[in-house]
Amino acid sequence: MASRTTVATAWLQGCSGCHISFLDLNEALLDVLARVDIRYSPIVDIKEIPEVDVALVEGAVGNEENEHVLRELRAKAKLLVAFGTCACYGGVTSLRNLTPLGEVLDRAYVSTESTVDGKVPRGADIPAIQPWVRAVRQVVEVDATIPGCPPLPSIILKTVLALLDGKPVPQRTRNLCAECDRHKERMLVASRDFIADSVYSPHELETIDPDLCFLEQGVLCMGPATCEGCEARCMKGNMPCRGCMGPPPGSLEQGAKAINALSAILPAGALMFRDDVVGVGYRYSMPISVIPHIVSERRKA
Amino acid sequence: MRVGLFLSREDGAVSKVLDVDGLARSYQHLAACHVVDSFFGHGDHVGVMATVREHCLEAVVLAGGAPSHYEEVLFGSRILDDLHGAGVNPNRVVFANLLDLVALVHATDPLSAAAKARLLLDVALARAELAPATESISVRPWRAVLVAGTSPAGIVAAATLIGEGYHVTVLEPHGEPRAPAEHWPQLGAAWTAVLLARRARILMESRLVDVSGHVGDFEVVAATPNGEERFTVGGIILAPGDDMEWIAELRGKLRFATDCFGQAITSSSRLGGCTERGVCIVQPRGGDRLALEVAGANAAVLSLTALLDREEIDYPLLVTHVDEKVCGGCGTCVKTCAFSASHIDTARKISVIDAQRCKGCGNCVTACPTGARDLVQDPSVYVYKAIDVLSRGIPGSRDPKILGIFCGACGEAALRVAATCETELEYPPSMLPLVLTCGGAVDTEYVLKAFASGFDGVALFVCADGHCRNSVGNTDMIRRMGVLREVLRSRRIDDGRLRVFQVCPNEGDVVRRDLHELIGELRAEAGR
Repeated sequence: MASRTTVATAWLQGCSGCHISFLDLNEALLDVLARVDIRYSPIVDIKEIPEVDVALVEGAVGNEENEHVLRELRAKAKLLVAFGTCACYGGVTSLRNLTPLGEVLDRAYVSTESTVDGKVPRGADIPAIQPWVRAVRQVVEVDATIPGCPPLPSIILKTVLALLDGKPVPQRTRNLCAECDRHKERMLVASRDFIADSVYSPHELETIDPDLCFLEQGVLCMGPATCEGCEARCMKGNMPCRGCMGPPPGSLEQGAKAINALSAILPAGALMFRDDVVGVGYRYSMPISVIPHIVSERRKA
Repeated sequence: MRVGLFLSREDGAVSKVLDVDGLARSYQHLAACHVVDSFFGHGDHVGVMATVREHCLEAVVLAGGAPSHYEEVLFGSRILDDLHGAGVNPNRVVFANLLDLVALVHATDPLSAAAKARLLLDVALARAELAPATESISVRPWRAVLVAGTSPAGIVAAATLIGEGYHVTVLEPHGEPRAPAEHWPQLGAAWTAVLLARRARILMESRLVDVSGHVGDFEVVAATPNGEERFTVGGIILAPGDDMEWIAELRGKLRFATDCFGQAITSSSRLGGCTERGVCIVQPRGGDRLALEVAGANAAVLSLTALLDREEIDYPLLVTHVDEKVCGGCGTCVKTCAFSASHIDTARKISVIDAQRCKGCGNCVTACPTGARDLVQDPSVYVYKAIDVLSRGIPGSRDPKILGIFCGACGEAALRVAATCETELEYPPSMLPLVLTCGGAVDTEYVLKAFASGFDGVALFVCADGHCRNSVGNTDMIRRMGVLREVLRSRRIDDGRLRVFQVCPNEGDVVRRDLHELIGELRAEAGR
């Protein structure tokens, strides 16, 4: 027993999908469990965080408790892994950075249509919410990342096994087009014509060619501005990329890169990313973008 | 990196406003820092070169007049050649235009001018440190020239070149020479010489289809009544006369800027001027037309033969090689390039650049979503650093802090003209300029970075519609910025703080007016 690697997993601000994905290792889970000893986790009833070899942290940092747990894990774990897109880049939970905190709390506890006499809960036993959501790596140092919303079980396995064996974790440097098997026609023709005459949501099209690049069919795909590493699973399921793997490491932020790339190759309708520039460009990576939240008060000259 | 800084008093024009010696004292930590009266004086030139050699400088910042000055004036280009000869890579010769951007415009506010000069020097030094050395390709120049157009200048240039022993191809879209009838008595002999010369070929009723390559080695495709012709020339002289339609057509094939009248920009000091080395435009206007045409033709022939008579010519590669670890072969570079210089190696899923076609405009670098490419002239790490440096602003200034990004063609030229044009409208020193090679090189990330660094406004100055020397740099940038506005609004930044202005190179007064208005609005907003 003593030779097994001790592991902690934590669930900060997120949906627990990453933990579920971990369970989706199915029978491979038995091999992993034979080598690890889970000492702390939402699925284990232990209140104190022990010293461990590896910590997997799911979720972003949005309140004082998140930050406290994260810092304690960092102090007690030899290796800390940002587990899932929220931990790596902020994820969907960080979209609240676009709304002032007061409005967020009001909408959550007071003004929802089904709420009667709602009140924003306060008290010493409730962790204080922080004004902006941050990714794990913006709070503590991270030794490895497993992005994905949720991360693919095979990628979790590869990374965890590499960590257990002391080997280098899988490297991701290119964009998703490198992994995508769909073929391109118009994208490769050196002409300034747009590659599609309009832009559609997948449900607006009667058929989507499963072998042709989505962009050439007028379906907005974040693949070019998204990091590889997910084995292009959405594309294999005939759905376009939404960008959950975050920006490629060579770029500063995903949204601006998507604008740079797509606005020159798709017509005006696509330019506005179907009226949701932020939703398309920043759905998964708001806190690590150049301007990570709303600018509350402009500097007075 | 051993960097040297040379500050020029510009014969008093700069030192009248700036304490140049005082500035020099704050850069004593550099490998070398010297003050000269003018880079164009013989004694100063010798002094500069001696210092460069003595300290084995790897990068040099020349702080004085406009960069284009050094390329246009014969003596100026000698400085560049000599620096290159002394082992300084051409991409590490950096200019800080303290004359036009500081001394002339902020003469009444010497304190702020000094602070601004320091910022511009720090930006230039950052570029000297961060710009990669360019790789050069050497070619043995072809002693052959294409003369496009049979205006008087075209005829004279062709005849002179034949006399110099060059092979000449004359191309003319119309059925007969375009020189006006009243000039035929003077031009008849020259035209006959061209017609009879064995080394000349005349393609009437022909059009230029494609030009690729670089100075010394251009591959030309022409459509003639007898079908398509391909030939190789070392240089090109454009003498289209007043045929505006043809000028517009040529502009798409050969990079040159046009002013608001559609005339090609040729600076006064360089009658045969063009942005691309080895391509000269002769398009005089006003005055004694025939005399100007002949003078222009002679200047063009002189500057071309000075290049083509060399044993070897170097030309630099302007875009870095594709980073194969990062490129995923998505194809955005292929679609954005206006010169068909990119293609995808589908077997390896890697983008490949055709150095014969690449003009170094930066549009593919901006479009690349992975950062697999970079501009050699304006590497992104330098631009970020420059924005950082400029964001320090002018100490004590209460004016809105504005980052002005100017394209290297029309924007920068207009900014220079703005220094001396006659208008009462002023802009304060807190407008901090950054010149990038083309509007297409303005990444949306740069704008976000500027706002994140505390700039109150970002003003982008690019060419007017249809005037970009890279064909689409201005329009592609405008499309990108249009979408970016939505991102700014989502962060609750008023998108009116991002302005795009389209100017012609001669419209300095428009630059002053636009900046004056923008600053007025930002001041009013801050006052509320």
